[in-house]
Amino acid sequence: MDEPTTRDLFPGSLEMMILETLRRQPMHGYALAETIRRASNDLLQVEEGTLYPALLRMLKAGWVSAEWGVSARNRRVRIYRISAAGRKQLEREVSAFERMLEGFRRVMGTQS
Amino acid sequence: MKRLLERLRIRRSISEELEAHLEEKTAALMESGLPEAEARLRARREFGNVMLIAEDSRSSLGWARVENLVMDLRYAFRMLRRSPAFTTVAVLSLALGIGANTAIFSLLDALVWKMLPVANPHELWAAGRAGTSGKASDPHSYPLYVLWRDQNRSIGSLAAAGSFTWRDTSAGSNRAARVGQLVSGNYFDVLGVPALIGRCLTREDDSIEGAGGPQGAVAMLSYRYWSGAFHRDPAALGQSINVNGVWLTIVGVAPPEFFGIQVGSSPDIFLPITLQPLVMAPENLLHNYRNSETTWVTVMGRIPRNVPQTEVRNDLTRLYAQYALTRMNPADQRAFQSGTKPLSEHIVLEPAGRGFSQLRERFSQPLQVLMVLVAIVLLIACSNVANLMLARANVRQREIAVRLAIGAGRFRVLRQLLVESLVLSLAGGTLGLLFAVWSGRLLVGMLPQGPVPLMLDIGPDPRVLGFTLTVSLLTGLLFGLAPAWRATRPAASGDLNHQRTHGAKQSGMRTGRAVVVVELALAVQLLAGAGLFIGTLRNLDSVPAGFKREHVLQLRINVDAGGYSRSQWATVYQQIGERLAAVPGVTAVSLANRGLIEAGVTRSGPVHFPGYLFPPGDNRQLPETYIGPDYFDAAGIPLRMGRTFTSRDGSPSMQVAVVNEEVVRRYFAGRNPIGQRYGFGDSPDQIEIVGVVADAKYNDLRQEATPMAYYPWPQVMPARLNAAVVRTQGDPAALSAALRRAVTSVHPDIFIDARTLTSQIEGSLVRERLLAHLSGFLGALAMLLAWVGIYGVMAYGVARRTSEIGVRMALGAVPRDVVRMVVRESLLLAVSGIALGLPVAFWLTRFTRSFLFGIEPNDPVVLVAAGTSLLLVCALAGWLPASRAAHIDPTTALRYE
Repeated sequence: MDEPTTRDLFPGSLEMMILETLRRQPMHGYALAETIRRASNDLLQVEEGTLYPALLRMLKAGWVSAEWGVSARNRRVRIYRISAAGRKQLEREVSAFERMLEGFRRVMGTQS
Repeated sequence: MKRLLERLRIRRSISEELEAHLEEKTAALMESGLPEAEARLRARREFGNVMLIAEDSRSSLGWARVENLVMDLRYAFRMLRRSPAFTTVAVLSLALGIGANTAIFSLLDALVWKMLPVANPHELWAAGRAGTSGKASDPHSYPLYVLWRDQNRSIGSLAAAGSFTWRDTSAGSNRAARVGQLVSGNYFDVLGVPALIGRCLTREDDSIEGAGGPQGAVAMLSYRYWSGAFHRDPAALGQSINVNGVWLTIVGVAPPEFFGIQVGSSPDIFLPITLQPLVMAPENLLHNYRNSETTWVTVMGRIPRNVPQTEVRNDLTRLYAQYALTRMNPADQRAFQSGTKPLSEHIVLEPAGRGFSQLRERFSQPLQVLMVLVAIVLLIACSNVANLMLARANVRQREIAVRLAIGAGRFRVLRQLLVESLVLSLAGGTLGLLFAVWSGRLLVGMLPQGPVPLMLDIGPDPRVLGFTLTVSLLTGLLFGLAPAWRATRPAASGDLNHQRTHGAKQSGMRTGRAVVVVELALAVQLLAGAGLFIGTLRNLDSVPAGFKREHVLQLRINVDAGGYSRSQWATVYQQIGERLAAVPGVTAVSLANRGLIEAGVTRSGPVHFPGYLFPPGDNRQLPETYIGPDYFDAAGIPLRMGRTFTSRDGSPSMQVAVVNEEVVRRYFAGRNPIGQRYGFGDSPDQIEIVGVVADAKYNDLRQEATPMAYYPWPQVMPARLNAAVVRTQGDPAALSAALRRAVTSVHPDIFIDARTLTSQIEGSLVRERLLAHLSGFLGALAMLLAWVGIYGVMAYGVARRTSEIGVRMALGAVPRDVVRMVVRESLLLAVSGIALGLPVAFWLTRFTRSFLFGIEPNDPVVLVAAGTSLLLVCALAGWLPASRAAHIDPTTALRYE
């Protein structure tokens, strides 16, 4: 049975996913978790216990900003928005990730 | 800052955000078809521990330290509020300790340490003259200043300043006595003090002797006088002001903080120094006359750091030699030039950045002694609070053990306890500051007041605030660290179950007892000091003065403002004497050149006594007092031999003298001197001794017997008679108005100031009184604190031992045994403390020797009294808990366990 994996794939992957999701649209914590779950076809499930510390860490780093808003279900929620610094960070992370993936692919390719 | 605030807001609302998340999730689950209860359960199960997540999130946001500190503070306030008795005692004893320190510090700072509010005060130096005796005196004659100013090659600008008094004749001023400064034109320039409004005095302003400068006679006002007389109206500039009969144009106002160079005095007006002959008429101090030289100006300048002082000193010394040479007789000139006779005085440089003060010389040492005493009081207060904290820590052992057990780090708990201490000490410091402001004023009030009020700014300035803050924090660490360390020791708090074990408890008690012993030892020092100072004051109060202190009024008289010439003085003095004698209630009156118990003395020399050979090197000076016929009656000095003066004495051709017994002892080997003649210089037998009177104290009550010769004042005219001694029938103070009227009826501008002899004597004992009263107060405070300390330890001990005492009583001990047991324990503490303290006091008190009179530093009576009184206090402190222990009911006590 396919248990949704909660393992952090590699350091920084969660932040990358959050930033990428927020880049498309500002949203609140629950929506963020749901979006990631749905986008990964239920393969990735973000635990709340990981999500919020990560969000606040990013808030502290200045990658995202937050303000109170209203959810689709009309509830008062905190909505996170990616900042200019966050966009830059995302670019950096993505390119670093792609380089890594490239190397990874080559290693795996030579073995097959 | 904005970001910080935003983060703080986010921290606070994390829980709210997580709840919203849960709600969203539950709603989503319900939308997928689950019933509400199950949806809620599942959401929560999947979510996990909300609290933990919130905590994790917060710590990832940072700010943990600030948050913890806020929590610590909140917790500390809650704990302190919960035990109001402990908090009150601790804060009050700290407030008294810190407040006393702040008060003495602010006084010392204002008087001794603080720099003048001028530019680069460290560069300011004053020229002084040191004689063979080594004592430097600051004032010089004006001609010497001019020579230095115009011809020095090393220091550039030199400024001079001298004081004078004046009567304020402006409307509404009540002819108040005021102080003014006569300053050189470059004074403000050298000090680097700008005018608040208008301009400062300049070099031109003192360029014309007796007239001022091109703009005529000008003046600069002090800020205080400007505020009082002109209500800070800038229109004061250009107006005229009358100073001792001279009209001056106001050109500027000095800045508020500037008070001249005399600490403790605050001149109201600054005038160019060349106006001196006008405002101090008829005296002209700008020139030297014949052989007399009046030294009245302080000379100072700036020596930049790169200029060596020796260069300046040599330069000024060279000019001083030149000056001294012009004033020598031909023989001395020759001797000096041939190098056989060096100058009797040499020039020294003294730092002037702290200004000058006579009070400083008199009070800096006593204040330093008091500083040590208040520091000891603070130490006692600290140990008291430390003890209370220790006892509390033992009581709170369970709470602390729980906190350590559920995972708080030792450092975390330590910090919590320290925060509590600091909250206590800062509260004590704040209260202490109020106490210091109040008691500081009281202290300044205790300092001697002249005819012009003492101006000493001891308000809590940044230096004082910094001192108080530092002392408070150090205090908090001092009394907080040890108990906190102990309380968080793993061994002390490791066992939740056996939190009443004896090991930890006993060692806690031991530390508490040790602290009390130290506290008592410290209290011994204070009590010994207080005993010595109080004894000194009592000795001085009862020392035979040689005159009768009661019923005497001393007048200070100055006839200068009446515009008399020297030749008129004798007539004026005669008139004043007659008018004073005619006042009802006056039994005897005499004018004199000086009052009783006044500083300074007039001397003449070289004196010759028949048949007495002075040892070589003796300067052969004989102190003298000029008096009227009734002087000895007025002062109450008993006649021993011969006669006193009559109104027929005083003719310059038949010179007579009355001498005191010390003259007879010293120069006549105790033989009867009546009819003997002595004299000065070239006429060795011009004066006949007609009487002998008892020795008296002339300058102050500590004085050893000194020779004194009295002359009828008409014999020495023209000379100034600055005092009158008036003996009255009843209360002398009641006559002062009538006497003042009698004097001013001769001329309305004659200056007169009346004081009773007793208050004059009190004034001469200010130092001793200050030390005696304050050390007495501090000693009492120390006793009180020691009492609280012992009481605390004993009461705590009794509470701890309730069950033990219960067992003892169940086994047949009677209340008396219990009382004896507890009191014995407190006495044991007392004896240990005293045994520790007495040797220290024996050693420490030697530093007070110079302040004592008629009592030795290790006076056994004082030391024994200090010990006994502490013993008594301890017995008393032990008694209360003891009697409480005696009333323990065995059955309740045993259940107590």
